[in-house]
Amino acid sequence: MLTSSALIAILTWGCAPKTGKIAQTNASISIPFEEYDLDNGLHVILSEDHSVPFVQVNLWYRVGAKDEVEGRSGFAHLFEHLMFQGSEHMDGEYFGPLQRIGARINGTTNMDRTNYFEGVPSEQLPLALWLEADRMGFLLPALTQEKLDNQKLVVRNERRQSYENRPYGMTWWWLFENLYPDGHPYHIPTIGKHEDIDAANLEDVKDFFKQWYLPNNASLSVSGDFEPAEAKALVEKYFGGLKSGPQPTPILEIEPTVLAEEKVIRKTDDVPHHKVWLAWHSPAVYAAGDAELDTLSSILTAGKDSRLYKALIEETQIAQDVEAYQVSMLLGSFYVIEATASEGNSPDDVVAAIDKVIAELKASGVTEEEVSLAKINWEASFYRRMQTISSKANQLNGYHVQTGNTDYIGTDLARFMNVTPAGIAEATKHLGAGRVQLHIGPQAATEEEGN
Amino acid sequence: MRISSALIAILTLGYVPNTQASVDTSWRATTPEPLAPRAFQLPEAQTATLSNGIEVSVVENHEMPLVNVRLAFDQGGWTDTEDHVGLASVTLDMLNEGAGDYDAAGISKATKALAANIGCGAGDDSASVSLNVLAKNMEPGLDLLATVMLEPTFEQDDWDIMKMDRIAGLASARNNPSSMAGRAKDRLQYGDTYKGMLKTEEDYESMTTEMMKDWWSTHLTPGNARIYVGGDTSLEAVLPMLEARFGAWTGAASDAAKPSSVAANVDQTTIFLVDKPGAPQSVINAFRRLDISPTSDAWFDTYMANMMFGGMFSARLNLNLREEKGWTYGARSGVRSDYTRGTWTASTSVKTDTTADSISEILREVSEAKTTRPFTAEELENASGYLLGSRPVRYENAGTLLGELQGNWLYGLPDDWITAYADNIRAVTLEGAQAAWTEHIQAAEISILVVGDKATILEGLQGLGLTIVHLDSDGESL
Repeated sequence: MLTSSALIAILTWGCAPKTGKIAQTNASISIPFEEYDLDNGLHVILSEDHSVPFVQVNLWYRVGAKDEVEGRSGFAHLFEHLMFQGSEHMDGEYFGPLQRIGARINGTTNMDRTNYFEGVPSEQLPLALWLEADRMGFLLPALTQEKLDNQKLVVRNERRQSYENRPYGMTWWWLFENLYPDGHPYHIPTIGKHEDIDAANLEDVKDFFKQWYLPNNASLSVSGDFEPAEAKALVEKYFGGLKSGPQPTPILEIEPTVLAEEKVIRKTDDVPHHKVWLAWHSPAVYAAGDAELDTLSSILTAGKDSRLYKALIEETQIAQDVEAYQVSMLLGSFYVIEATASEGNSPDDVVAAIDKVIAELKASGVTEEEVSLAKINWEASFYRRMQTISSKANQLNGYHVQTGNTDYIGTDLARFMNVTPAGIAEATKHLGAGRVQLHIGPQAATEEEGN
Repeated sequence: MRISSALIAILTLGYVPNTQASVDTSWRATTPEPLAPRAFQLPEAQTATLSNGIEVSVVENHEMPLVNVRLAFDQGGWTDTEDHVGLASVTLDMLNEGAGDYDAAGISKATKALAANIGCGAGDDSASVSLNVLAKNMEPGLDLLATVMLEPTFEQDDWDIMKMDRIAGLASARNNPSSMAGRAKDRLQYGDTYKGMLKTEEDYESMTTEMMKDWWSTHLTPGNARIYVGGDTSLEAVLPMLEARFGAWTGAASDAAKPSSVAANVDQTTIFLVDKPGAPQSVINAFRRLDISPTSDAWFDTYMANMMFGGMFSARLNLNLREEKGWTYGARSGVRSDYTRGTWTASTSVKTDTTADSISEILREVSEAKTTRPFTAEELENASGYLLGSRPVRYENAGTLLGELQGNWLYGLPDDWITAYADNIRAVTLEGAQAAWTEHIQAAEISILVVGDKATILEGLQGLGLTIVHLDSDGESL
């Protein structure tokens, strides 16, 4: 048996009546933790979980692709790669010393932030903290042109593998550049342009490191099997001596982009089917309307009883698949409905069918039952995604960095539990005439369409 | 905006200017000593048997109020006949489309009302029907699972919709470079049997709901089933619930014989080329069939040899192709097994103009691991350290152990496979791994499958001096 201690305390439960009638549930959730700041401004979050002899170290830096400068798209992510190439006191691949002790190590970059994490056996906590501190404080002495040149090639191959050599792989590129005007922090997707990646030089790396990679611009989250006093002493030992720097000012707010009318973009590519994407600007993550639109996604496309599934697939078979979701970001999100036209149906027919469902939605709203069903499942999804120590470490850091409240999980769940049909009706106003309509279809088939 | 201003406030308060002069940091160059090691206890499964003979295994884990129940069958795509490839997979998918009094939307709605997920699916080797549900909803969740499992309706209308989706999926598979490689590799490795039989439009067009019903009643029987339960429950709690729903279910094990070993597909190293005009990268799969399986003496030696070669980020293959050359985002190799013993595959996607050079490097690494650069004690320590150190956390959820127990059952592994695993890894010696590499992997005959832009890469490939066989997108020779 792994453990019997409930590390995430379920404080209250609503009861589902045995009649099968759906009831409003009223649940809450919390993750125990403590937090404090070092003198140099590094935020520290500690969350014990002794279920397995394992500890997860997770660091968020408040810098992402949105903070890149003109002509250096893709740089935040390229920089993340360089963080694994060695630092002054451990000049070599970080994967070596970490993998040999069984670490699961990686980093990710998105528009809004960069994170680094390694899960290690409990007794190796000092090694993980040592390495994270060394690259936070001492990356540049180990930086070389050779390392930069190599990782530029690697990242450009990542671009080829994950975007260019994958059917519909350029979708994000086309959505972002049409949703956000030139010069907007979200205009170019995180992976960046080949020529910008290629142009990055050592000075760029040094400047970026000095500007953003500071203890006072980072948050360290440690979850798992550790003794708090021991962990605190280790954190102080390795991170305490790192120097803070001028407080960076990542972009946190921007005038919302408004699409006055519909932009229709038609692309042909080496793809098997005609697909369409409808994308609207929507509220920033955690802002009013965010949870309502996520709930709407469930009502529109979760399961075979969902509205768009029934209209586009079950009843008419006009589409092969349909999915609604929100791309949630700090400066503003966007809401997407994507569908693949089935054989013999045009993308325009699919868009018309989707628009009909949206029109009905706007005219009559959603039902109490639809909202209740969606909520029950959002509640369970919170438990499902908190099942691992590594996801808890990352979630605590995310809440701290993005909301300023590490203890946000209960509030986060409440956002979903408080969604009402009226709230969804209000949020549905975001799905207006101003939107991007993207079609991607096979070359030959698109030419035939002109017949 | 509320959130953003809160964030600004935190950042501002967090900054404390540091005016210290530079200090000696040389102490940082010393790798920290580990803390006292902490004991790891493998979770344990409890087992019991329903009155019809179905074995039930339960792994408790009470961290989350969730329970997972999987009805697993040692039946899957391997039972398909060449006329109806995909029948097992379609049959499983259809269970969720209508059962008892429910239509597809009804199942979906009933599942949502319990905050449950019901998943049905078949792979090549096995099939499963699973429920993930909030612990408080176990009884109604199991009712639903039993309905889906025992009373599927196989309606023609639902099959018509799924057929459209399946046929469209074939076009996607023939278009996506990774899927193209996967299909061609299966075709080459398994020939006209087992995974080598690729699904086609004709298979789906000719499939009937009657065939699905037959497959369901013949193959998804208690005689072919085991039940795996994990999460916030116990054997005592779940056994009566399962007995009530599945204890009276009847049906003997089917008598179909599982696939046995397959002959190697080449007798000399050969390049197989699938054209993908304009592709910016080439997908490369270098592979060969092994003459051993997990129950062979040499299995762990071979497994560890591969770990050093390409089984992890910091293994030779990736360090060369990615970290030294920059030709790829990543390169790995793996030793796998199925009902027909083992296979070895090295795979990567490389920039188109480095295709031939990358193949040369892969072959050079394969060969030099035997000759001029044998594996080292440090590499072996790295590999075993990685496998053993990363192991405990894999058991933080009940699913890992249950999955391993299911693997033991499907592939007939010894009962102590899981408990002896760590000792088996530790017992591998450098000599043993080196010998295994030489005997089981480093040999002349390797198949090198390339999905890439033929117009650009063919000349370079011809320069390698190997036979080149051209394939279509279904892996057939042109």
